[in-house]
Amino acid sequence: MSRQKNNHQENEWIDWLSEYSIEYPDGEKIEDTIFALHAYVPERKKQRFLKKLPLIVQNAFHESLNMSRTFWAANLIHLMAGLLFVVYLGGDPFLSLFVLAPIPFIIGLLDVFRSRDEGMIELELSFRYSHSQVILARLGIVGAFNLACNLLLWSVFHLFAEPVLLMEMLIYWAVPYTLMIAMCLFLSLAFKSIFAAPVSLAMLFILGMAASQFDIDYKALPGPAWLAVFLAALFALYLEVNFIKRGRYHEFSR
Amino acid sequence: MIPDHELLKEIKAGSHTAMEVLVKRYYKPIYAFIYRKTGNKENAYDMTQDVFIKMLKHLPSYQERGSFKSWLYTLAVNHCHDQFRSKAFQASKMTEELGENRVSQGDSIPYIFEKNEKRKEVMGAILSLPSYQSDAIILKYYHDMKIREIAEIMDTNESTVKSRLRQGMEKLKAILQRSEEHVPSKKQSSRK
Repeated sequence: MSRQKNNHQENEWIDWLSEYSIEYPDGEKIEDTIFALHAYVPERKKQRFLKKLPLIVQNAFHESLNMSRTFWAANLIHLMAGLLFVVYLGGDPFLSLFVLAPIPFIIGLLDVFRSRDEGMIELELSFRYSHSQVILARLGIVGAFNLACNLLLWSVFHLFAEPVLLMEMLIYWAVPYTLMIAMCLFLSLAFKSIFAAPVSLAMLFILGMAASQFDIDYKALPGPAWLAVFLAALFALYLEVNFIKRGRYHEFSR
Repeated sequence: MIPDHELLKEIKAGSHTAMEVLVKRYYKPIYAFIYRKTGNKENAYDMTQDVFIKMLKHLPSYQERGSFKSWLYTLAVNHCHDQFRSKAFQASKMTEELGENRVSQGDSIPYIFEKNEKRKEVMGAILSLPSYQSDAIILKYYHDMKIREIAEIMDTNESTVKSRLRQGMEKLKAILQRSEEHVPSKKQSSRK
């Protein structure tokens, strides 16, 4: 009987306390608080050697830690295939670089535009760096690493296969390489990379097959014409990087 | 759900997203605690922001000995004590909020009046308690915390928390009893 009375009193007591309800601030005011708190988030720790480097290089270092395995695997396959084809199978070093050189870059673009294509821009926008800076940093890694791999292959071919001449390097590597990456980057800016990458790869293989099967005499074109095409491709790349800098990297997507 | 310690690690490394997730997770409980301690919406809003600023400022030196939740509540409890001691707070104490009417659509006027009266009564009763007793009661009855957790937050032992709760509840029950005794006389006076 007294237990029932105690329970009744306890319930009455809890009911009485529950009268003290809360009126919460609206969502906008809570967001204002969160906005103010951003200033108090601890600074990202930087390695000493990184502090002296420009922002894009610092970002590139951080982003390199986030590149997918596919990107690193594509680079490794590129190196292995180049060496195997030329050094062990006695293949044509120029044709090999013609076809292989842009592949890691094209696959790397999947990583560069991953957050945009997967709808994660909003998340990355809340980071300290803008999404343009993140994309440029990734582009920098992909481009620099790809270039390093190509130069390594050139050095190996030059030493162990066939001496490389500057003109042949321009015709068989620099021009197709810059043209392909400029085209693939343009397609990636305009559409999803998952579409741009296979289209670029297909075009690259068609050109490569045409070059090997039909024995096209590329050298028939005069040197200045090749140089002009090369410079035009570089200019296109420059414009595309500027597009990204200005945040115009998803104008036509979706 | 990402555990608190993972989010803290991310925030320490400079992640703004992790900060947003953590603040959104604890905003309402901390606000509710401060609101019940102050009885004032504006003060509670400002003080909640101050607590999270303190949390971020002290984060680099934060040692994960207890739970993060307890540490955050400790910051809130201490911040309330600091504020109550300040002269500016004493001057503005509860004036606006006690006169504030909380009206919801569909409620009849006598019901709203009665609800507001009861609310003011509970608020006044809790605010009349010594800080160490109201802290314990708010954490126990509104935040469903265990005695051990309250002891950790208030930096004391469990038996002290129990005695604070008992003493606080006795005072509140006495107030509740007094108000119940006054209800018939209030009704009679309203009939007149």
